[in-house]
Amino acid sequence: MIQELKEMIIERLSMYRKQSKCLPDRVFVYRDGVSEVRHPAKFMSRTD
Amino acid sequence: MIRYACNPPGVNADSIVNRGLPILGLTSQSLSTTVNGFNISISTDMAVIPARELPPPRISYRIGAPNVSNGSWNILDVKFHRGGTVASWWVLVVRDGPGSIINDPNDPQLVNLCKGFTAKCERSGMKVSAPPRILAAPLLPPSQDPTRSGSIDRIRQTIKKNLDDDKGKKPSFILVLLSHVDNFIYPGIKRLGDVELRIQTVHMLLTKVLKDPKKQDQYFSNVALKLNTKLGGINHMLEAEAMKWLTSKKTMIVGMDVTHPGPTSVPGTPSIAAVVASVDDTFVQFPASVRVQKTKTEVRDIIDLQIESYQNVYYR
Repeated sequence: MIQELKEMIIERLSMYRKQSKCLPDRVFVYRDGVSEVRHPAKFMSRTD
Repeated sequence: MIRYACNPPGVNADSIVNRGLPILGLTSQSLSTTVNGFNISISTDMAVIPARELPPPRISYRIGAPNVSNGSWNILDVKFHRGGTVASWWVLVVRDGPGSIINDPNDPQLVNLCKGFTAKCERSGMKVSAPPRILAAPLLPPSQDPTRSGSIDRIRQTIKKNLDDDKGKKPSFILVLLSHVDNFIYPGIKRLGDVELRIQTVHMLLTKVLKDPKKQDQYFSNVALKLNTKLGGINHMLEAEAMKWLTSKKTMIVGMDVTHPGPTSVPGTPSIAAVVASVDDTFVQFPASVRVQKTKTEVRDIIDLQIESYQNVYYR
């Protein structure tokens, strides 16, 4: 897995905010190796 | 492995049903008496799962909306949505041993290549302000320089000297012309450009670009797509109707993956993890975060992090 995922996601959100002047309402993650219990639908999230 | 494992679905299905089942002894003829004793039989028909094929969305260019079919479309005569600007550019001819294809800055093959690529970029909607400066870097033979680090240094010095001549002003990009594939030269130049000197580099393989004049237009088109994105341009977008859902709320698309060292890698080679994400409603640029990390260590999953990450950014 990705060890410094947290730091990298924060970097990406910061870059998004720099370019778009706001944070996203939702984030889609494309990745591999998703197990049954951790279904991709769970990755959808809102900031508000 | 991938060559063995990667087959069209029909080939795999045939292999499972007609070869796999008999090999495993799971056909009615070969089913073991033990299983028969429990009155168990195994169907040779695969489960059929209904599916539907969605029509592809239209791709839009500033001029031209080509038809998409099987995930591909023709880009020979399109104009980019937003063409990048080339204020200045250099062409670096890598001269690597006796197989070196271009050895003279006035070689008509080189002159035509520069003209042809310039014309393709301009036809696609990019601005190319001036003809390129031609640089040449003769490399050391691999026998004297097995990891090619000396050769990369020659390339480094060639670029640095030209930067000094221009008082440090960088070109918009460097087009690197390679005569053949080399495991060290290409990644060495990429690293030099991306990490060390922070200059965009685009490569062409001379054996491919000069081989067939009929295919050259297609080759130039593909390199122009790459270059325009590197210069901050927008090649193409989905038509507005197809973008509607994505743009109805502020959405960030993230991609992430890890590469692990292969069986021939030096022991201790780290894995490399990368996360890319979109930055606006065009979904064109996906800048990246990259880390090296220790191999095969499972630490945290995104699900554990997502809310925490949001809160961190939100309250920062």
